[in-house]
Amino acid sequence: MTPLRLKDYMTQTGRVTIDDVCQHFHIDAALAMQLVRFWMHRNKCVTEASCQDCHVKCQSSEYYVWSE
Amino acid sequence: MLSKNTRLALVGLPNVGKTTLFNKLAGTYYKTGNWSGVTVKEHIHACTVAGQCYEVADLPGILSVYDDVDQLDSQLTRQALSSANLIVNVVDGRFIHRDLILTLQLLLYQKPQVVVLTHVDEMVVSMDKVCEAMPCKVLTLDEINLDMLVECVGQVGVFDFEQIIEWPVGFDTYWEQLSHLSPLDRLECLVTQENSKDVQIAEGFYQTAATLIDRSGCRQIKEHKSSNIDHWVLDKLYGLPIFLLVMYSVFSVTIGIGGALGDGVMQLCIWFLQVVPVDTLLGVTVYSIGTGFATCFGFIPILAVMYILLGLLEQSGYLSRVALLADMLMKPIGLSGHSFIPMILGFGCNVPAIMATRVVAGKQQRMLTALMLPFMPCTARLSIFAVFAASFFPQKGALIIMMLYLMGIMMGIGTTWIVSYILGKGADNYLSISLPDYQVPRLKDLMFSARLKVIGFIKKALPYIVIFSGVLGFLGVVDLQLNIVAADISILASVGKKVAHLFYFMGIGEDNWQAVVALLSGMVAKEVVITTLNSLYQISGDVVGPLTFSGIIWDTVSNILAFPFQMFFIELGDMDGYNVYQQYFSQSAAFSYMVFVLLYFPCVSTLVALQTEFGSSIAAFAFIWTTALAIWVSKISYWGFGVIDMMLLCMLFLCIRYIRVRNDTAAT
Repeated sequence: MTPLRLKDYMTQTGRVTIDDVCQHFHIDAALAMQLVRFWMHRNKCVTEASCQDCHVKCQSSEYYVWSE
Repeated sequence: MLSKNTRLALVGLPNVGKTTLFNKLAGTYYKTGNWSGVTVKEHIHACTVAGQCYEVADLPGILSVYDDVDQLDSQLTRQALSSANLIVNVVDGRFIHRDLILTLQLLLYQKPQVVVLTHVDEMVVSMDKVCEAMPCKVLTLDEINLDMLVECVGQVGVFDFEQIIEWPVGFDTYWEQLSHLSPLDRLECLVTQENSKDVQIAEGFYQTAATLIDRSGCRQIKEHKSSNIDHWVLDKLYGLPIFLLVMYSVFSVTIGIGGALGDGVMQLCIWFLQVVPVDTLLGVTVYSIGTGFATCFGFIPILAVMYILLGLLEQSGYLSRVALLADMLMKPIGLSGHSFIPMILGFGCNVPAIMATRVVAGKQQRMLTALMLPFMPCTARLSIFAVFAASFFPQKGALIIMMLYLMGIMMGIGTTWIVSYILGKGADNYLSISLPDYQVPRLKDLMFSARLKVIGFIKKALPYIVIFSGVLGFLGVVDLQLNIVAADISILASVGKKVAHLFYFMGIGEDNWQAVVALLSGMVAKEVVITTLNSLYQISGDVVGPLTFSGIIWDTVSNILAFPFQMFFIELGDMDGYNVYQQYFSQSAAFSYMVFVLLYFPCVSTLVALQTEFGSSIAAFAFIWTTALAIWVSKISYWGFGVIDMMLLCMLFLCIRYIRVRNDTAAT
């Protein structure tokens, strides 16, 4: 699992949650968060509001969107 | 040949257990916590083993050796790594794949490296396989000691970085071109050049880590245990009310049980003091100092209960969730949930909170966070609130205290909003913290941590209290010719009465000059406000009386036993020791006084911390702004909101708008 693979996944999928990343790449949430943070730090990824059917403000259900 | 002082640097990602390891190695008791960013400065422990001098350094956590260059704590860690003789990389056993990336980056320093695994009992891969995967010597937190590490200094060699790293196709060329430089310089050169190669560099580290994990044959994923609780405590609808309820419970128990115990302790001390004759100059001075001690000891139960409860929240992992929740509130003022962590620390003491702003990325965001902190009610202020709330608002004391805390937070956020509006939008800020798993706090740790904090408070407060109580006690009974006189015509009274006129806006007149003297003494340290008030009220002849030992014990026990029943009706125990206050303040004046104490002049230590971290202009601004706000808000608390206040508010808005427009014009 590498940053560029995450980039490919995000650009293909549109928007993803940490859970999506974990399931897709079969990695733990800590590593997934670190990878997402990598792109956020470079202003290539932003957060969106939580899933429509969920009011929880947590990282696992927050959407991350590729923005370039 | 080793240098004279051999440095062992403990480094790792945030919240992996570096300070826990440091405390174990050095026998120290530095603060640990179940959240990121507990350590913001280097801790050094010097020791001698077999005639050789060693320095063990506990460093702030870093995410990467080349990112976050604008963060002060990351800069500090990188500097310390350069001078280390042995890198001790602390790795969270639960998240080895994540932490392995930093382990690989640390190999660039070309120094001997030892990996210390924490949370070994929760690891999802076997120890043997981890050893195969890690390109360094691996030890566990349970087995490690200082002697073992010292042995490693001579035994562990430098691992050849080039042997394992897998650069992306095509990147090797760039790497080879800089072969005349050290690996670290090559990396820095490639990251900082115009067409940055940082993504390819990261790709290499992540790919290598994945290969090492694959080679170990372990791809088991640790289940996240906390999601059910998080569903409630992080809910956008219920999260904030749950937090308010939790904090309300903390204050209720603190004031209910801590207050009752504290009152008992103080009355016991005063009971002992009754043997001191107060008809001589020496006797009065000794009595005043004794009263100061009594008040200081009276705070101990209040602070101990508060620290235990806050420690409970912190160690359980709830406070990290609160930071995430606070992200929503912070975003409109240009900050992130990271800024909430210093705010929480500010409830203990503003000085470490200002230091903790180092975890906040961006200079402007750091400064904005720091400007909020003088408004956070520290434990010294809590002791004042506890006394006034119990004396004047026994039916709704916890509510009043909570209201004051919320007012402090709102004032802090308001100040930050104004400054950020004037300065314009800073760099984008986002919260990205790894939420720690919930854990059951250990009572032993909670008690120990609370004990250290209480001792810290006493150490800080006692010198001030002794000096102020003694000097004020002396000045409170002598005239200019140093004759013993009635308190009303003493030197202190005549000065206090002259200054008291200035405080008419908050309902304090000449007859309550003691309150004004207490406020002035509180500019040095807020801890002395209540002791000053107590000393001055006692020497004015309003001694609590007559006290009996059995009466004090009975009152204390009955107040504590009654607390569980009273808590639900928001009623506090009767704190007899402070009933004397009711002779000097009306209820509205007491509330106004509390508001003034909450907002006015941050103590000298806080100002010095602000000056050191952000410069004199920020410290001066904090001094002027907090005091001006304190005067205005406490005036409104006492007299109500009038036409003049409306005009002042309009003027403030116009000024802010004018400065913003002027700044925008200058920028364009």
